[in-house]
Amino acid sequence: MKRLLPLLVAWCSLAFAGGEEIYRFTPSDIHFLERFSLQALPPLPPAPDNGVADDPRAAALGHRLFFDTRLSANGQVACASCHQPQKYFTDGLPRSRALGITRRNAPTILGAGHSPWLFWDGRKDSLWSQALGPLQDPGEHGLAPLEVAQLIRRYYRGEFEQVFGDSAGLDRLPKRSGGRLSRRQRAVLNRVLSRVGKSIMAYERRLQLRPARFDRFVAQLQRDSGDRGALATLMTEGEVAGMRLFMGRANCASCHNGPLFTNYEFHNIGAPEPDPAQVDLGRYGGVAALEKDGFTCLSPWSDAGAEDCLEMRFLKKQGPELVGAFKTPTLRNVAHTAPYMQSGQLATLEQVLAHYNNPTPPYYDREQHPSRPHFDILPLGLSEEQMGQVIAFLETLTSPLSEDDPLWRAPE
Amino acid sequence: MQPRFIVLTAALLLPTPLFADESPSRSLMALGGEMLRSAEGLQAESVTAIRHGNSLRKTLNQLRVKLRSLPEGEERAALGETIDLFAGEIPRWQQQAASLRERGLSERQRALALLEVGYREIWQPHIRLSGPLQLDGSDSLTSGHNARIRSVHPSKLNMNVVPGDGATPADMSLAVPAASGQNIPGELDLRSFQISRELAVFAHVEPETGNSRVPLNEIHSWKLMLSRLDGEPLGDAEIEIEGHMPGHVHGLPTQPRVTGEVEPGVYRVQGVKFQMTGWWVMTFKVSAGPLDDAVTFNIRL
Repeated sequence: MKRLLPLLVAWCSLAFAGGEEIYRFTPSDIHFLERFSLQALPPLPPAPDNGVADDPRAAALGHRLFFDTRLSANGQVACASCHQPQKYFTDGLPRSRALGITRRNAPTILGAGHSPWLFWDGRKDSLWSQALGPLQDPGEHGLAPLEVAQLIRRYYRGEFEQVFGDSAGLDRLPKRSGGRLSRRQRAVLNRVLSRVGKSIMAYERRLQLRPARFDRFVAQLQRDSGDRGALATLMTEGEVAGMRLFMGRANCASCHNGPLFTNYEFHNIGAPEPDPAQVDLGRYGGVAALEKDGFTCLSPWSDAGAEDCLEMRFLKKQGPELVGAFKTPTLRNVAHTAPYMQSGQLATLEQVLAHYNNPTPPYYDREQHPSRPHFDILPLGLSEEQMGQVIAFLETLTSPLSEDDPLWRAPE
Repeated sequence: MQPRFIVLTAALLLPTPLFADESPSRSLMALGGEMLRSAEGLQAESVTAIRHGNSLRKTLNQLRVKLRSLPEGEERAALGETIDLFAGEIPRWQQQAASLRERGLSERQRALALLEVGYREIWQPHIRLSGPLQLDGSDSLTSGHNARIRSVHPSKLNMNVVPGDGATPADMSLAVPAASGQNIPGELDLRSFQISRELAVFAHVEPETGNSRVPLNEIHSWKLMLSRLDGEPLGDAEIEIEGHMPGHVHGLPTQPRVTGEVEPGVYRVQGVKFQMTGWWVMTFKVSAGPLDDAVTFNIRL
């Protein structure tokens, strides 16, 4: 018997891994998984701060602006330079290269319209306000506000007026940069800038994800969960095992949940500090930036009344959990959006899993951090095989590239 | 203590209100408040009795040490008798403490029940929710992170973990981390009617949503109703709001605050958002003139 026992155990685990059990899902399981399917994606949240958020003409203008390299100091950088459609609107680099090198990794734009906060540290509260950051960042597009307005006047005047009903006072602006602007001219500039952002946002909101294998697997479960053959053609045993780990023991679904596999909250998982000499304070810095930002929902350039800006009005400004915390990224297409973490510190999903499996506590420097960073994860104790299964599951979240969708390429 | 309680009980049964110039609901609350203080008195007496028992035990131990050092003889025998006497006393004090405590607790329960009845009658036009605060929709999906640690110190990992609390459906083969490790006490007081820490304020809270339920991941408003124990609304109070998850060592994702007093004692709380299911604790720190108090509500989403 003593000799038989290990054999018996081995046989049982084989029988389990061997497919009969692994493809068996109860109604509660299916109900749980449905909430991760793209089918469960709610409509885009209303954007009261952007009056043209759902205007197709604004989206068309935004589409052109997004791909236009003229909107940069050297004429070579467009939004699409670092948010490339064929790479799921990322650039494949740890930190992006434009006029300079950015501090952080370029996140995907797909699904971003659902997030209350933008950027890794959430320092912007809308996609329109977010778009103004890179345009003016000396290391990215490197444009002064007046230069943006001059480019609009030169290349987009007609469309701009058509979308917004007036020119926002473009003609009041000086033809050349350098002089001092009047208060009125500065207001014109801010209005033009905000409209540029709002058009780009209208475009970005229209980008859609197509169902990935995982979504089709869930759809098959809903249709006929007993058809093992159909299920097996959609996801392999290893991928299903990975999915079970993802939802369960590996705790990934604690934060990476919902149809976009993110809760859009801020957490500190202790990813390696990219630059210990100048630590990244994450959400703590993002909140400070939001308080100073001139283009939030509460600003004069927003189309919303103050009562509509709930996230800003009740912004959480304090708490140890803000320090070094970053926004949970979506895991849609994650297998094709390497490298990972806020500054691309981890090159592969293997490295990411290895970090989660045996995480290091966040870097702490008393001189630089306002308080000891909160630490949000626990070691997982997964085997190599299990980590491989989770990675295999992540591959099933890859949507087909929408190459036939005109929004996924430069406008004609 | 006992005679006072009888008087109070008798007063409750009297056909004419004890407080002639107040409404019956107000006198109910006032009576509840009085009983609450009496319950506190019993509690304090219980503590005194425990302390007395403890000090007896201490003396007893000292005497026993002394006994061991004494040679056989009369003195030793006499000390032995004293020790036996003392030893017999201790359980009696302990029993008394226990019974005082029990009486105090049950009187407290009765007092709170009275307070709630009176309060509900007075605030009836405002109250839409009488049970505990509950999550909107039957779906409860974990959202937010899964930290189960109070410290980043390696030696403290997992110190608070109690596996699972049965929040997952029985027929689930996926091992989802829902509410795991939150260590929710079974006897958690989830009532939306609560007495304050200093026993000066009785309060009720409810979400201002269509169905009086709490939505997940959505900013919404609450109504907080504060009453003094005599039934008077507590108006013009300064209120500070704190919310956290004891099982996760994190707070709310927003900073809610009171944005107005709709009418005396009825406060509108805006900016409430919960990003995660599980056990939440919401504390309202209330100050008004000399009053400095706090009311806490447990919520299980």
